[in-house]
Amino acid sequence: MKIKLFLVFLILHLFVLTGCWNRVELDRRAIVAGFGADKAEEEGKIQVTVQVVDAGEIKAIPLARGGSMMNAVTVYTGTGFTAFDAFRNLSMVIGEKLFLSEVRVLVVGEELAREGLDKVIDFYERDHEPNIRDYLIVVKGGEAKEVLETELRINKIWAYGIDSMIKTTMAHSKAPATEIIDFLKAVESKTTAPVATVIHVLRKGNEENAGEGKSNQDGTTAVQPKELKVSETAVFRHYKLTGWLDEKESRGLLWVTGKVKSGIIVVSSPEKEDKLAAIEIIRAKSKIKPEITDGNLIINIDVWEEGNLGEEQPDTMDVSKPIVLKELEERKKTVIEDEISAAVIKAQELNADIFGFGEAVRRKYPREWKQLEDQWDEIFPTLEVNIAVDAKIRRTGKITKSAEPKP
Amino acid sequence: MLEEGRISNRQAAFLVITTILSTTSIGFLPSMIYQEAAQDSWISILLLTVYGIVVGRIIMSLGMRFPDKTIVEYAEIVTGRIPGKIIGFLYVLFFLYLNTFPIRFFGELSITFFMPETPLVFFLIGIIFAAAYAVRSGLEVIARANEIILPVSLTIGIILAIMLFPQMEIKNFIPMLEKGILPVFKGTYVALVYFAETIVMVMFIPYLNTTRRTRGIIFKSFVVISLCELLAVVSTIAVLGELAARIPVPAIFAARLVSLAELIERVEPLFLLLWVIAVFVKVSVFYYCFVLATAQWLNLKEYKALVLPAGVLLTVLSVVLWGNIADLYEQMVKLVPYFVFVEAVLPLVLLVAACLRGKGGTAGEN
Amino acid sequence: MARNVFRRLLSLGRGREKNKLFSTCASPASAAKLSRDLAVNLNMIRDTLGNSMDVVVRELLVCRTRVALVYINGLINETALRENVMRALMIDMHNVEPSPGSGSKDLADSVKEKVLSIADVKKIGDFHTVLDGILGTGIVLFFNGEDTGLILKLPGFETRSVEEPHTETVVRGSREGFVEALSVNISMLRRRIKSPDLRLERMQVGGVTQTDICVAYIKGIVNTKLVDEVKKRLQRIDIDGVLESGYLEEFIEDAPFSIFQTVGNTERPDKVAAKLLEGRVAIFTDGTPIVLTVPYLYIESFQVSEDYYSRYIPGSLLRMIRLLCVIITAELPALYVAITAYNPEVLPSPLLISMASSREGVPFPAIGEILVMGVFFQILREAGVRLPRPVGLTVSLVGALVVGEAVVSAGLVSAPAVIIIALAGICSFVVPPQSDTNLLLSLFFTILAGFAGFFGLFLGFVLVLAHMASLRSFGAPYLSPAAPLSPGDLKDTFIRAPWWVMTGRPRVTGWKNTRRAGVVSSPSPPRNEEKKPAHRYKVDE
Repeated sequence: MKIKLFLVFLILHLFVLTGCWNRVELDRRAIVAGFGADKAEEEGKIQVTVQVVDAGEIKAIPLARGGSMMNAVTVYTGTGFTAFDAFRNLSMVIGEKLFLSEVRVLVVGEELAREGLDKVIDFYERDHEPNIRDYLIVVKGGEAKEVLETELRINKIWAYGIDSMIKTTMAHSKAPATEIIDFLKAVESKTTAPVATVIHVLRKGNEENAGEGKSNQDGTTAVQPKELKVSETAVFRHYKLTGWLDEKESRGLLWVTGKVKSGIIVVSSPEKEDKLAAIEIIRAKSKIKPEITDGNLIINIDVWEEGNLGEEQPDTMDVSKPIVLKELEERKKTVIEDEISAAVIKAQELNADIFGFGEAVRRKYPREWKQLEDQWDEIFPTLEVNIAVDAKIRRTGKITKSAEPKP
Repeated sequence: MLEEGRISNRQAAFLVITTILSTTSIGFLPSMIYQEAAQDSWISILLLTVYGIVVGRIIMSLGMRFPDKTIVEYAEIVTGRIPGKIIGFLYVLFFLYLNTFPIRFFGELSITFFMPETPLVFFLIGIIFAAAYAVRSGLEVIARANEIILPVSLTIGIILAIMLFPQMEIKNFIPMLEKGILPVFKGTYVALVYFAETIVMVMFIPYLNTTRRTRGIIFKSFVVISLCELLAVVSTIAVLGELAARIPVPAIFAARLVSLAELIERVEPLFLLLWVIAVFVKVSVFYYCFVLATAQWLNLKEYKALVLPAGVLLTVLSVVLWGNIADLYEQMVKLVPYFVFVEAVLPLVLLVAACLRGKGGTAGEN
Repeated sequence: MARNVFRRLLSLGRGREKNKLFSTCASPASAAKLSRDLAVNLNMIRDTLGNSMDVVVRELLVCRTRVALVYINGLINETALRENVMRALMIDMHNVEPSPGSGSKDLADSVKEKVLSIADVKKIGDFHTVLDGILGTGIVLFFNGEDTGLILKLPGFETRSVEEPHTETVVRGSREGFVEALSVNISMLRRRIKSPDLRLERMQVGGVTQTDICVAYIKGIVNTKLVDEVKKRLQRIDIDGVLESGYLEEFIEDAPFSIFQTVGNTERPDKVAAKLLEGRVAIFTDGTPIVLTVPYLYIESFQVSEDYYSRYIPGSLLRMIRLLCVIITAELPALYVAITAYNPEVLPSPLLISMASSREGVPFPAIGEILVMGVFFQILREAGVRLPRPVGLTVSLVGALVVGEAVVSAGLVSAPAVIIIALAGICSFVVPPQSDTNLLLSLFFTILAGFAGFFGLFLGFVLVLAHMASLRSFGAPYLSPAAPLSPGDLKDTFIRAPWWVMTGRPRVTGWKNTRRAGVVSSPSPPRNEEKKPAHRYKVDE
């Protein structure tokens, strides 16, 4: 009986004496909204930038009543030998424990991307706080630091603004929205090439103005006359950046992978070549069908698309006639096929199977794949690809003909 | 009798289900199977179910020959005093040793995913303490608590699977049998230990409140187990694809991927709840078997006094046996033959011996 | 563990049964018989009762025999005493035959049989019964020269009239609640169960208070072993006074150290009747309107009379809401602590940032906030209950609105914490029998969550579940019908199935006699009847 009591006593002490190791009060956590990695100026080092939310300022006077947006986030930068190392070194500058669960975007500078993303992603996967469903973006011609220091007006927390921007790529489908997990899945497959969204830093106005701006609490400057733009795609080979897809090619990629959700296709009007019409994409599907005939591998890409006529520059075209619509559909089809070819050509140029053709072959012809797999690097650039598009226009909006001045 | 409580057939079936499911479907098993069988892991599960049912029937047939004794008691009857004592001791050790795996694994998991700075011992003591309380209260208490825990766990599991639905891709299953049928068999290797955990029934048979219709216990429990395992494995593969090979506990990773309308995200604590309650039952069951077997082996009047020392022993062993998680994995694989021997081969041998020597009633259960 | 301690407690009781501290009679003279001498009897009475101001001794002459009435003023019905006893003895006696010479032996009998127009008259022969009678609601009649007396029961004390029970009000259903007088309560029960199988057995507990209690059950439905066990445990009680059924509860309950109550109580006669019909046993105590029922399962605290009187769909929904409230009360504060201090990523981002900013500048850690506010809430509640009504309202108002608001503005406690505590508090009143239990549970969970986050919280769940699984109430497992699973009985747990579905009594209480309704009794439109056209007025008839 006495021993029992003693043991219970001991156990209770465990609770009281040692304290609670993992308890960190909420207001003593620095909530990180955006995480960025660049190549540091020093050789062999990584520069990590974090955008931290100022929780106290969030509740401050909302913008509408004249409050200032400036201080909702603070940006810090640190360096280290590896991403984790740099991250911890940040605590030299910040007084609180950094909390990575609320990060929404992982931004990587171009230079570091060329060297290889493996320097950053492993930390992201292994630590239990970051979520691999965050978006991955590459900065073209710039540094992640710059991107995270740019003030955005969409959201008080700028990094979440970037997150919104990536989510809205579906509105134009000219850039993919890649989550880190998608990137990883592609890296793991032997043949598929990973891609990532690209972000540009646009410097508006004169260069002299670029240096001005209000200061944040820690002395870094948030330079105002900059803007961010999300478009284009970065193409990788394993972990290293190897090339880009421009807007047209990016959409081609999305057509093939079936990820086009919405967007505008511009075609010229059948009757007057200089008048244009804009058709809105409503939905699209795609199928990749590999075929092996006589020992030759051919990839067939089938795309189905449906759209509505959104705008036409006034002319005599009367879209209530099916013939006219058919003509528009043909033109649309050509545009789509164009975009897809452009993407295929560029991909073959870069020798990057961004579409997942290899995986498709593997699924359909597992036995043949065993031999083809190792030679994919040679096969891919010369693959024969057939594109078949079925484009439809369903509706024309509220009116059929636009108002026309009577001659 | 050492234990005066009685449990019903249904309660026994529930106990078997939770014991087996807790470390397999939400633990490390899908990943281990995937490493060998890749997208055909679900076929491995079907094979394992058959194996489980066969082994389960052997165990039940053996047990039903001696409806009021546990294996520690009838081993002596079947094989004589000395071999019987050795066999009994083997089972005592088995229950103790097998219990340390889920305990340690649970601790490691909690630390990695939830509270990295907390020392391991804290989690171990927590779960062992809860299990000790249940064991001390008796078999009926464990059975009754499980009757609430199992439906709750199943519901949570199914909800998690439903929440993951948007992320599932059928592509991850084709092509089938890419590497042939051999990897499917290889994938079942580690799971052999876990699907034969019906061995705990040998300790429960004396306490069933009816000796009729006990065959149904095994079959019904395996139907449920099989379905849940399939659900778990299929969801894992569907969501993670090849990632499953390098993630030790795919289920929790998948829980992290849940994102419904951006409102319900990061549902890992739900998963932790599942883990805690399921592992609690499993640990209690093995803990109880260990304590009861020891008490019978030493011919003691009561097992309650053993509960606390057993708990201390369990804690110490869970800490000491392995240095880090890599050790744990390695041992799990290396020890498979020994465990399978105790769980499946030995009962078969005893059954055959009992039949040949005419020991024990048959009651038409064979 | 608790069982061991209880066993030890019981053995204490067992050992002392033979020489109980308080035997049922207080004085050594109890066993003595009445003497034939009136004066001696009266002296005995005066000695035993002392000179209490309410003891009245009235001496009369009846047929030339000296007769004395002894009673306690205030306990008896004065009118009946005057009309039926005094008048009868003094005036009507002359109509009776005893001849002066036949001796006063028959006097008691004649008086009893022919004169006294009172219903409850008995002959008595020893002091113990005499005292019992006087201290009960009786008048004792002594006859000089006889060693037997008469005891007349004429209760006439002041008691509260039957009114709506304060704690268990319903919108639809009977508004009667028990009162403090045992006889009235029993009559209310009798009116609801007219079966001859209703058994009401009287016992007395409390050495000094001699409180009357009544054990009620329906023979044929109840398990006789249960009744025996109940009576056994009641007889074992050895205490000087039993003032309320709560005393009894603590003596007979199965798990004295558990926070969960294993003995039910209620103030409503319809509830008691329903429970008796299910095979339970009820214990009435004189002096309190609260009646105990055993066995008591966890699920019963969610079952309110109204569920059964209103329609089953809203009844089921409300029941689920009650269950939800219990969960909220016990777990919400702990969840708050676990989330904010250990795992904030569970919350959606906007909520998380919002909460982080509310907690900015608050000096207490999350667990401190919850504990402080929790204590404050309990203080408010207690103050509201104890103060007289007009002032009580002000206190709650002031406390809740002003202080709560002020505390947040001053930055002592964050707004979410106040909201959480308030919500938890409100939910705790939804299921009144559970409110104390839930308070303790929420405290337990909060502390665990404070130490170990979600892990601690879930471990707490498991411990509490294991504890509940180990409880039994007079043999019935506390968590039935969920565990052990008895699917048929689940119809009355989280949902309330329609009456025509609930054809069986709960297995744990009904034992052998589980059928209580005919099988095919679901309402449906009449079949096989001619379809008569409705309202066809034959004009030409």
